[in-house]
Amino acid sequence: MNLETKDLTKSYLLTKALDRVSLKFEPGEIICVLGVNGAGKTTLLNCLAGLIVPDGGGVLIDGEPIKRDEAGFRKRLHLMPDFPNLFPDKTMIRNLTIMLRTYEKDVPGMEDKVVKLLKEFDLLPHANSSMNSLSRGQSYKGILTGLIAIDPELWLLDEPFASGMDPHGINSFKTHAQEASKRGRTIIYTTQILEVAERFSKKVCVIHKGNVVSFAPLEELKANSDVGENVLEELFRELRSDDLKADEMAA
Amino acid sequence: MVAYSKEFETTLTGAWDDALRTSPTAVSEYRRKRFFHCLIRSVLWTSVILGIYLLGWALYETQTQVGFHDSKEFYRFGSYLIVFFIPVIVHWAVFGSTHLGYLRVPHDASALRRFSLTRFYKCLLWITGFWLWVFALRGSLYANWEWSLITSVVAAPVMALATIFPSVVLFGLFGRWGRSKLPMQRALLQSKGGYEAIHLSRWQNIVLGGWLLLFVLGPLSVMLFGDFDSHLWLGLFLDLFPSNHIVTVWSHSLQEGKFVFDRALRYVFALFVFIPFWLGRIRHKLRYDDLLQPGSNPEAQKLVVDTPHAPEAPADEESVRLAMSQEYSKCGAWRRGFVGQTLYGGLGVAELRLIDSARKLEKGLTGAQRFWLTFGWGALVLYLMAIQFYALQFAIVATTMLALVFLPMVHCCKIAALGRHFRTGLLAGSRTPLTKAAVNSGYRMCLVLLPAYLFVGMFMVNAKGEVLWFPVVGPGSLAFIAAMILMPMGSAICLWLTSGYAHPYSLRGWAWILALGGFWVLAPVLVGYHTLRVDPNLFPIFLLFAVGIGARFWNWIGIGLLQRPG
Repeated sequence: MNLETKDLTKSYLLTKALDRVSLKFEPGEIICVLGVNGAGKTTLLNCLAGLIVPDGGGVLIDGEPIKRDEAGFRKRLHLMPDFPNLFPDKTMIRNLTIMLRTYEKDVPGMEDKVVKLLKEFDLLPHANSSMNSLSRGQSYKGILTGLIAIDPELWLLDEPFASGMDPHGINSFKTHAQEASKRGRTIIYTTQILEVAERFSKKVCVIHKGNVVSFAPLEELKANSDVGENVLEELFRELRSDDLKADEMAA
Repeated sequence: MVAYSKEFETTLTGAWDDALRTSPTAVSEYRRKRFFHCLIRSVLWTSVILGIYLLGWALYETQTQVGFHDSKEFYRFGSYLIVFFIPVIVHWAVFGSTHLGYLRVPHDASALRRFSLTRFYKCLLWITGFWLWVFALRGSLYANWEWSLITSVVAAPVMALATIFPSVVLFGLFGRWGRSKLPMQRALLQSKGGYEAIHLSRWQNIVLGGWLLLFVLGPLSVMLFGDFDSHLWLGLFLDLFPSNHIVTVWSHSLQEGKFVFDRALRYVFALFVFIPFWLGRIRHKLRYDDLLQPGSNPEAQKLVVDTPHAPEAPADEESVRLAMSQEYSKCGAWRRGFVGQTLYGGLGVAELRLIDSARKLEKGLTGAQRFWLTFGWGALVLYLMAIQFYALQFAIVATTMLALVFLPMVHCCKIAALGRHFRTGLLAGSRTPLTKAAVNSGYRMCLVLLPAYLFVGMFMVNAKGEVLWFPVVGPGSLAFIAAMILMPMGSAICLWLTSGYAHPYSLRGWAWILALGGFWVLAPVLVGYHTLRVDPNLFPIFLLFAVGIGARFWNWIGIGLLQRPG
């Protein structure tokens, strides 16, 4: 999937969440969206998922503007919010079945795939439990299982590393995401953990106050920076410093 | 022992189940306590409504300079109010959850069939007796005893059959109560101890109770008070009742030695609207809400959660595979006819079925569906033409078509919109309560308000006591047609609005809500004002219109507030 944003702009009253953001995502990329709280990361994901109508600009998939009410478009992506949308009173199996059926992935052999994933995420014993009886991390892993089973072209994940998943779950997720990227899936996720971003992503998108400060492969950023490995940390330090200076000037 | 509480009241399904399992005496006690509680509640609600009514009249009086107690219309409106609202409220409050709310259904298929047939015969007998009683007593007032006897013997069974006929036909076509139970449903029944409680929602009780009481109170009043011309207040109270007209027509016609069916037929055809509707609702509840979704009520869920249960056995690979295939088969089992599905309110809250509907609709409507939709629109157009030209017989035919086709059609559209909305919402990751709210509001709106409009319109009387059949010209027809067209449209707009195009938290979203909401608030006010000014007899239409729109508006807001940024 070739995903592109062109002059994407979105405001919430007087706050500009995204300001003419133009990005191009290639298939098979794992992109980390970084930014301070309120920078516009989640808004970007929501725009890419078609959940939010931008005030200006647009999102193009394979060169075509997205049609928000078209199931065909929706089926090509899945958004995992930080608190996944699930049916809390229903069992994990039913939740997974609903997901699979929604995406029309209820194909022969899917049961085996789901069982395998549930085992991998240590969820098999809880498969018949209702979601509201599970911990947050377990619930997240349950829905993540659905995402991996569906395997859409575009994975959008909001703060997956702050979802309550245990280390084994996180490792499994990383493995699956990397395999998916090799299959040409585009994975865009947000995080506040710079170490994860550095180790897990091929490309980094730093958003600050609705503007894209940096959108480049990590290696490129490191090569062009004096600080090398600590490039992201340094970048955020500079942004913070600029903000403080701007505040002083304004005062 | 089951204690009465507000929570308990809202969690009837689960509570009933548990209570019945543990102690039938607990249920009796619960009913007794609830009865008094509901009695008080109905008195309070009645007072509130009458208070609002009197206040409205005081305002009207200042506009028209018509004396408060001297006004004939005051009593006429009061009678409408009593006819339409008070019995409904009383029924809802007192009987709503103690009588029809609890039908016990056997689990075994053959027992279920016997149960259905028994209910059918009982129903037929009851209605026959009812009509016999009405005709006999009414005939004795207006005609000599011979005519009374003939009327009773001939008319009562005919009317009883006519009353029940649509349901029988429709059940036969679309359901077959006793035979179409799916294995899964039977299994569920068995798993629940061989019985199931049917809990009707408040709205279902209102409609069902209103319908029943209208046709019990009406003839009763006719019997007691006779000619409405000579009893102003009570006569005004009575002149709305269709049975009054029917009886009058039957009696007079028989005396004149000829049968005039027109008014009686109106009544018969009116039944097409309601009987299938409420039976369908019961059946729907029987089938889906309680069977497929035990404890689907979130409040009930809480109760269930609080009830200690045996811990679930950990799932293994085989059980997961099996459970998944069963979940799929639940989808696949949904193969009933589309029209039947819609007619009986098949829009359940079971998400899998909704997804299937959505998927079906996304792939395009089938030929049959297109036929029904086209036919429905055609019927609507014919219907409007008929009432415009006051072609009575034509209108009767059109009414039948409307009842049989238009409502399912509206429901089709609902399923289309909701299903699509639901699926795209899920795919995008939007919140599920939004969908549930939309589903609830959608079918309530379609299946409750539209028949209500139809019903009121059919039996509208003018100031001279003449049956208008429909207010043909003037603001009344405007209100009616506006209601018919705008209500579903409003619902569609609501869905559109909440489907993510205009997010309620965005400026655009709020602008939409305010603009459309403003329209929906202003429209009934303007129509109502004009209606009352020109023809006060159209007050009930206005009232329903306003109530419907008000409900719609608040539903909007509710839905809007439920939506959160993804």
